[in-house]
Amino acid sequence: MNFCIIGMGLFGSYLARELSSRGHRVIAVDRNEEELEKVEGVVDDVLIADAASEKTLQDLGIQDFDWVLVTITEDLESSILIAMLAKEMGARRVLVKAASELHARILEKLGVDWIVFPEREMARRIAETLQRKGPFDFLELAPGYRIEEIKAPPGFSGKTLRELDLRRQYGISVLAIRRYVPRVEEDTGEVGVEEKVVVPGPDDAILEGDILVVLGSVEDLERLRAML
Amino acid sequence: MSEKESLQELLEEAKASFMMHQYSVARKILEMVLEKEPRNRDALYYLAMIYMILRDQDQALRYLNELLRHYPSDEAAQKLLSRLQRDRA
Repeated sequence: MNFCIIGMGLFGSYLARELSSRGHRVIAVDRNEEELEKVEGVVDDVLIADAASEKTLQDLGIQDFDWVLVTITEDLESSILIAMLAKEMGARRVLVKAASELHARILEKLGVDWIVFPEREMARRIAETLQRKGPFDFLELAPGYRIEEIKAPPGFSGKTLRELDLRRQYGISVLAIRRYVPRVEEDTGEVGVEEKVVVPGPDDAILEGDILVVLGSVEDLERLRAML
Repeated sequence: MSEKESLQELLEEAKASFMMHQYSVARKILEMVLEKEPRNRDALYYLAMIYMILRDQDQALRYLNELLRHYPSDEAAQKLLSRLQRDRA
């Protein structure tokens, strides 16, 4: 995918590094040359420019990126202006880092596709992880939708995914199963256990102790977790 | 059939159930074995593996520690213990 990241503060530069390391094409924009030095050689290209200008965005070909990520929070006027211009000029999807609730409300009115509060999100994620019994983690795909690891509820054991029909019953899909299985050591003949990842088909049965990697809405996942 | 033979038979049945992923069945049989012979190495070892599979690491650790208390040089148990500790980290 193609990303244009505007603002190379801490958050912007982390995003740039992460996306580049995953093989995406990333263009970093900042009006401060020193900030861009942090990602020079890491991203595909850097541009020293004030992105709060129609000409800069036009020169960038802002409508050609899959995502425009606006990570500036110290200058709200610029953040709002860039978001507005990007949307007006036909950017496909725009993500903006919000600095406050008021900032977020303005961005919402502009039709920004994804408004993020990274510190708040991270705090919520850490709190949720801490309050759970097991070391389960999750990945937020989009607001309200997650890929999450859930211990298979006791009633699921021995039933196939077809029989459980989780998509219809709970609105969730099982993407993978983490499972300990018996293993006979080749050299000693001793029986041990090893963990395997199974990409299940409809006729695969859930076993006791399985960890299900599931995709669903936060509400549907909560409903499933309530069965534990 | 002597008591030893009957214990051996129970153990074989438990091991077969374990390999067929029937962990609840295997666990019950192994608990019966331990009632008769609390230091039975295989019963302790298989129960530790079953609890590990069922993600009850505390119970798995309890059986492994018990096994290693009686058989400190048991290599398979040591290997399972380090695996368990690695997974808990």
